[in-house]
Amino acid sequence: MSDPSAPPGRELLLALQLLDRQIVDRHGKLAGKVDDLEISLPSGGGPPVVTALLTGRGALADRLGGRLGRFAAALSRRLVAGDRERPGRVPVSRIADIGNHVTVALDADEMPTYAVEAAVRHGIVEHIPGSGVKGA
Amino acid sequence: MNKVLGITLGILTAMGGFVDIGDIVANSETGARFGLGLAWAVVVGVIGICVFAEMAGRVAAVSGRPVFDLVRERLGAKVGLVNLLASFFITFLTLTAEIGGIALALELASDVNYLLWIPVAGLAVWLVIWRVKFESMEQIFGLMGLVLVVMAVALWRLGPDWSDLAHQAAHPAVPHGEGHATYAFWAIALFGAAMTPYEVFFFSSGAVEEGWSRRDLMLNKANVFIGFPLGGVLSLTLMGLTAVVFQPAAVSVGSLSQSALPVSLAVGKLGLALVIIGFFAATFGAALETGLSCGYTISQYFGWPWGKRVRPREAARFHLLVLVALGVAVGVGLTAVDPIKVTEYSIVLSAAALPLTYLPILLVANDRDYMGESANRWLSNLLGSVFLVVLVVVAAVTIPLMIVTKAGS
Amino acid sequence: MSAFPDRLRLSDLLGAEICGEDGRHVGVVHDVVAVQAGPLTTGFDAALELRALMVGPRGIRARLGMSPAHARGPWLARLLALPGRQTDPIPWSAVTAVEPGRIVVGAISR
Repeated sequence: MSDPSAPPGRELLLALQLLDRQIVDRHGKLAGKVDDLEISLPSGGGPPVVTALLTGRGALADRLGGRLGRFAAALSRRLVAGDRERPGRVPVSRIADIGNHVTVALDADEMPTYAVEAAVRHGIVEHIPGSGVKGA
Repeated sequence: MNKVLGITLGILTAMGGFVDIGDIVANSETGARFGLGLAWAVVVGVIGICVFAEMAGRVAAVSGRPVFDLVRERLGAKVGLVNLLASFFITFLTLTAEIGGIALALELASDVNYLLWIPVAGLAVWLVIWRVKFESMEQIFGLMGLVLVVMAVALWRLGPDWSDLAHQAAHPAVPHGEGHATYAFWAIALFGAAMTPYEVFFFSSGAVEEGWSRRDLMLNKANVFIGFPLGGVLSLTLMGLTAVVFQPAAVSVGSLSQSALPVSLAVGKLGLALVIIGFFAATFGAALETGLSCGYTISQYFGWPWGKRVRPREAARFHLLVLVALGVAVGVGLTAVDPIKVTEYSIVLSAAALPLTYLPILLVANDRDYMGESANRWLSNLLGSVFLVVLVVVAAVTIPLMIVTKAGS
Repeated sequence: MSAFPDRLRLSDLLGAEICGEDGRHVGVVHDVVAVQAGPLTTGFDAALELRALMVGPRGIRARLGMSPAHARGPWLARLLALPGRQTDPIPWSAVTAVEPGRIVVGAISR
């Protein structure tokens, strides 16, 4: 929900305060980092707007660039079924708060990066006895 | 009682940081070759790790974020990635050495060849990471390692010339038969072994695993200022033992059984049994630290869920990483590569990567957005900055020295 | 604006060279200032609008992806910020075109 303490017109330095920050879901679970931001021109005119957080599925590899980066990105997108063309998107409307991490009004399971975690969980980890028991 | 046990995180980290296989090797060898002439390097290392571990623990307690999590934010994704690759590689190398170390300790206890113990060690470490509660893990291995106090008993019973030992420590000098470059190399090795990056990765992640908050800032200080110096004292005691027993005979130390010899000479079979238990506990603790840190570093860079405080299925990629790292470490160990050699290389390479690890800690500890009123005061900043300069110098000369001295031979 | 790519990401702007319309090199983008303003969307306070570009000289820090503001703290850390003479932010209204690796700005009061 909107942060009542943030005054309207709050300024943000995108690279310093948003990029590479931890994303946390509505339950406090870790859900990836902000690998990049999607920016578009609104159809009604005006300055460009940040429309989504990009996380996982090659977004970081795209950003780090170079041939190695693009190869890694393509590989990562092929490994998991889904939209082959695009990295994981979290629309800006789903951001609940920006502080020292970014809280999103989503469950980690709903997020695009969940696919790999789920694949590892169901494919491997769940088969090992004791995977449902808290180890702390 | 719980308050007393509350410092076991610091003790375990220090065990793994000061008397793991790398330190056992480095302290034994330098004691035999240089007497206590390199004791100052350990002391400087203890001060350094205390300064930075206190900062890292404070950051973790106040912000809920462990060190490596912040590396990417602070250094940027590119430099952070370089840091990740270097840190992971070195931590993994150390893990391989520690698995070897566990196997060597078990060989010492059983007369069964260490190669046969390697898969057992790997499996045991994995089982503990998979099932044992973080707190229990700390308490068991931290306290078990404390039996190494028998080394102090042994030193006292050997009845050395204390004033001579004190003189050696206070007036560092290069003994006959050793070169200045070799002396410098071993100084760096000892210093690097005291400040290995995985100690802060583990300590700060452990603080988050334990759920430390602002109320635990004093606990953080207790952990650091009791645990780490304790580890330092133990490693200096080992140096003293080999100095007293081996240096006069100009014998150099190359095996774990030689490191244990002074204690068995002075305290007999019971002493030997205790020191073997202690070595086992310390190397096992270090294997736990490095194994978990292999998972912590990568997971924290990418923002994946990590840690033992959630069910394994909730941190699937983290646990898979740890499992694979242990598997590969066992595989490498089984190629019969000498764990002692692997250790020496891992210490030296750690020394080369130190500035990249410690700079982000210093930066975040000063950031008022994260730390509020708990941000660094002038003393932490002064010490932190001085050490950072030292670390950069050390990092610059490490690899050339290693080449020139052929790794300290 | 004469040119704006279809799919733009922040990483396309960071590190891009800023030139005047005459081709004069102005600097390299270190960061982007955004402001919560504009139409409300559900959940988040308001849309994040780009307001200005933070510019500095070309340098190793820019290539490493660190902005000068990254280095806060004790004097040693501020050494990292030294080589960067911070220039004033360039308002987005002055941008005339966004091309791959390059951003063209029109007249600014400098």
